[in-house]
Amino acid sequence: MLSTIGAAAVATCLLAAAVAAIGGLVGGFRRSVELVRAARLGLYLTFAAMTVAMVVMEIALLSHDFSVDYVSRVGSLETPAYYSAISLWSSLDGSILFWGWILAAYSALVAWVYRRSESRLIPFTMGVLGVVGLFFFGLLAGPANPFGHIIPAPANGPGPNPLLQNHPLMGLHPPMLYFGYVGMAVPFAFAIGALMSGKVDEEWVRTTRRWMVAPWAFLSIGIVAGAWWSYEVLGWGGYWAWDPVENASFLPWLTATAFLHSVMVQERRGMLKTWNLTLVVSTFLLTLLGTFLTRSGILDSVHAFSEGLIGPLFLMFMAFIALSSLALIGWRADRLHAQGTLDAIASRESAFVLNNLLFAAFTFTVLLGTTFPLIVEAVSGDRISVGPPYFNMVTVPIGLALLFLMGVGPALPWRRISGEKLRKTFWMPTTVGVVVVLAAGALGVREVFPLLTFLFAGFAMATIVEEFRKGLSARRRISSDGPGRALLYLLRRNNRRYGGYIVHAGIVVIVVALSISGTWRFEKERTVQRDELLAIGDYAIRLDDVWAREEPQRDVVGSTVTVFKRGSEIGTMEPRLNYYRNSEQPIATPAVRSSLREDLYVTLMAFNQNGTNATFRVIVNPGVPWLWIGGLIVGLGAILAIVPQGGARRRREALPAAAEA
Amino acid sequence: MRRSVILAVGLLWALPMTAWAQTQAPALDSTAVDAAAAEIASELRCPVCRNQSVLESSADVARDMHRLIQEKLAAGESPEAVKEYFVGKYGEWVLLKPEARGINLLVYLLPLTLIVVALLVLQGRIRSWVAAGTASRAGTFPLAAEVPGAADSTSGPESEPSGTSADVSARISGENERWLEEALRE
Amino acid sequence: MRRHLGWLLPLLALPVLGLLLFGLTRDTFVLPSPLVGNEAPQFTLEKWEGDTLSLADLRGRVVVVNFWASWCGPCRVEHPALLNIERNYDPAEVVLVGIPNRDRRSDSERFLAALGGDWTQLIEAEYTALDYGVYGLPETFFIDQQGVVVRKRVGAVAWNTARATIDSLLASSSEDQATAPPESADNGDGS
Repeated sequence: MLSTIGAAAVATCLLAAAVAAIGGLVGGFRRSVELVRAARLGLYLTFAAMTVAMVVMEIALLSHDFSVDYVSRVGSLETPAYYSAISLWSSLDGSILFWGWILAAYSALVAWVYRRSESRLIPFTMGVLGVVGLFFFGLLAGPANPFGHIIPAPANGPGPNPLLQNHPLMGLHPPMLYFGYVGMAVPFAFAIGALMSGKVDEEWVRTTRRWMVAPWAFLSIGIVAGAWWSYEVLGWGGYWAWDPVENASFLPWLTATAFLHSVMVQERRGMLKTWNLTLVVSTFLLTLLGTFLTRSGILDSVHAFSEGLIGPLFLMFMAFIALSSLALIGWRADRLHAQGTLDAIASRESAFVLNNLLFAAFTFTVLLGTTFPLIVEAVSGDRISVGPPYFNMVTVPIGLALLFLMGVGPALPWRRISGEKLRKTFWMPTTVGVVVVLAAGALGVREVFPLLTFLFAGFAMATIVEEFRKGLSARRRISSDGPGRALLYLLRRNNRRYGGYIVHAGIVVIVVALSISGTWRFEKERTVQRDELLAIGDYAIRLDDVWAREEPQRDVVGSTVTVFKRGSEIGTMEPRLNYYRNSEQPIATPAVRSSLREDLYVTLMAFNQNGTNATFRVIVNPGVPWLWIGGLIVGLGAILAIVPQGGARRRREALPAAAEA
Repeated sequence: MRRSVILAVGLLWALPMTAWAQTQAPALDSTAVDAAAAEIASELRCPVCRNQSVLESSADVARDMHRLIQEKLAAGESPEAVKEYFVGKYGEWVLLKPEARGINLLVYLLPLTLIVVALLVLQGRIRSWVAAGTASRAGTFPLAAEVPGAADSTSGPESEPSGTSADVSARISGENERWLEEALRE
Repeated sequence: MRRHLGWLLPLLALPVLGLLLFGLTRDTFVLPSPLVGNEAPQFTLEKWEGDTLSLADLRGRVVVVNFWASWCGPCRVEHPALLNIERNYDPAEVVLVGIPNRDRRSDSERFLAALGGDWTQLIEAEYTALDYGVYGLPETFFIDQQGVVVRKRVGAVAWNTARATIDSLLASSSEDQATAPPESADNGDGS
């Protein structure tokens, strides 16, 4: 029953996407109002149908209806309801269903927002979204069909991937990433729409920027949440392993970030048109690559679990996207050519261009490192690995250069700056940076990279504070607002700019936290007897007990330890190992004790059967809590940057397409 | 301009060679052998895991490897010899940082080459953009009408004293040298 | 000029896609072993029934070293092939040696009692498996009369490929034996 409804919904969706694709593209070229309306209705219908399909799947998952193929593979009667619900993204076809639903939601939103627009851009944009939809809904209808009907229905299933059901964050991290990934289809559709309609001026760029910030924010939050999940579950005390799948989520983030900066140059100067198109297309391709890598398992990593026809289909689709974008850019080459002009080398424009160069280099380096084992194997047949030691070595310098630019860029005005003004602007941030470095030096820091990081971070932070101060004092000169009201006004009136600065501040916090935790983390691994102490730094833990507990879906072996800091007892922790019924390897639940300064991170590694001793890995991880705080700041800044602006500005910007009717 | 930017980037790139070893987590609370073993373990791949180092993994094989590293170091073997032992057993695959030789050189040199070439190209382009900007400003100020929302532009072209384009670009490049030098001197 | 660059940039995607297509065709699980073609790591291990066995003592015979465990599924699958090796070859020419890995002795014994097989089982030392670069059970090493590893199989061995490997080793050595008898202790050192 549920299988039938689900399959019917997917089929409807496929048809609707075909209508949207044909209606949008043909209607766009023929300027047919009817066809365009059909496309719009088609996109609405995909959303309705996908919503039905997803609700059906959720009902099947929650009611343990094992006659539905997907449920029979990822469900089990013992799985708690929350994890049953989120096992929608426990496996390949469920994830694609979720992917498809998000795509349909974004598409319908685009169709609705521009329903009255008469811009030539919109029909093509809807058509492109229809084409992208055709691919994903086609996967759902064929090779990745989750709604297969199983007769007779099994009495029980194996349950979801153990990693998925071990931590509640699995309910947050994948959806955030998916909203980010899929959202990049919208800027891509606008870019292709611009190329097809020939309107490659600044309209699509202004419109696209807004549609880029939201997925960018989701992606940022998804990446940080993923790091957090990895930290809380995998038990190795780290948060970023340069795993191919992690890299795959980072790559589109890099190109999207580059775009968010270079787009400002195009808005102001009408230059970098081809470059911006390339960034948007690359971002979309990289999100497809990310989905592919996550699901194909060809670069073996924790997350990969798939095979079959879907991999080659993904590659064909990516090749189609790349080639057709290439052809379109070539076709419109004459319109894309614009004479770039700058007033001076020392200007914000130059800083942005340099920033884009570094982001591109960063992307290239991560992509190269991620795929390099494949390159070597293809050329010589040898198997090699490229892992964290490599990535840290090559990306830290690029990251530092970007951090440096992050301080310099906002301090530079658009167009040009005089030498005297430059000195005046840079004096304060430079002083702050130097003071921070001297302070760190006085505290005994001698390592080169952390000191450089502190220098640039101090500089960047001072620039941001100075920008806020300038804005506030300007506002207070012309109004009677108090500082609070003035700040509120600034944030409302120029949310894009000040939201951007808040994001910068969050990034600075994250970078400093990365540098600190990467440099001063230390750890110890020991087997201790009951009542024995294990000392590390200021801390000591004492093994009190080893216990076991049976839960419906797993067996839990835990240990209770008492924690001491500088000799005084500060509480207990319970690191555990979870043995899931469908997995041989135990999944750890490390215990983490956070303070603003550092984390004490305890993983239970092994225990003996009679509970008299246990092996722990204990890690003192300074700075880590600030990673999550920084992530939160980034998220807040990004949200601020996308909330609609007040008053006249909103009317002018929200529907730029309508203006040219 | 060109030299100083390349120098700046080159400097950042050269640092890892000399300084990376110092910044890699010094174990404050363990013996020298433990610290050295942890460093080697962080550079070896756990053979049964998916993308984890021996240091990070809790798999039995990884823990055996970690212990063997410690024992070999304690017995006086050099870190290189220890790594070589594992390469002999599992192949180069076991190294998380590929050895810089043969085709592997590409993974180190390509990013650097790309950055240098891109900087050179970009430098030429920025020059030509500035020249074009100067030329257009000397003419009819077609770009002087600002895009809406540019209130943050602290200095517009109007505020600059007029001069021949040669003057302007000379002054600008002079300013720029100072700007970069100052930035780099910090 | 920018226009030309713009043309080229999306092209970068194609080599990447080609690589990924190549990636789909290969098995990430199987690693080539650097031991193949080199002298097998020496070991002297205790047998189940007491007494010790050194690899060096087996010089002149083909040795098949099988790392296995009772909890490993594919080990069960390959067991008939191992039984065939035991049954079809003269122990004076071909020696099959099992080394249970991370397995309780009682479990290993129960496994063999159920499935049969009387070949020598050795008690692994702490790092025997690491010495052989073992990462996934079962792993089987074919060692020639000179003590050189000629083939490594990760995963269940099949009887026909195992036989082909062993037969070719026996065939190639029958010529050598005419000139250098296996009893000669110096025989393999040069190779």
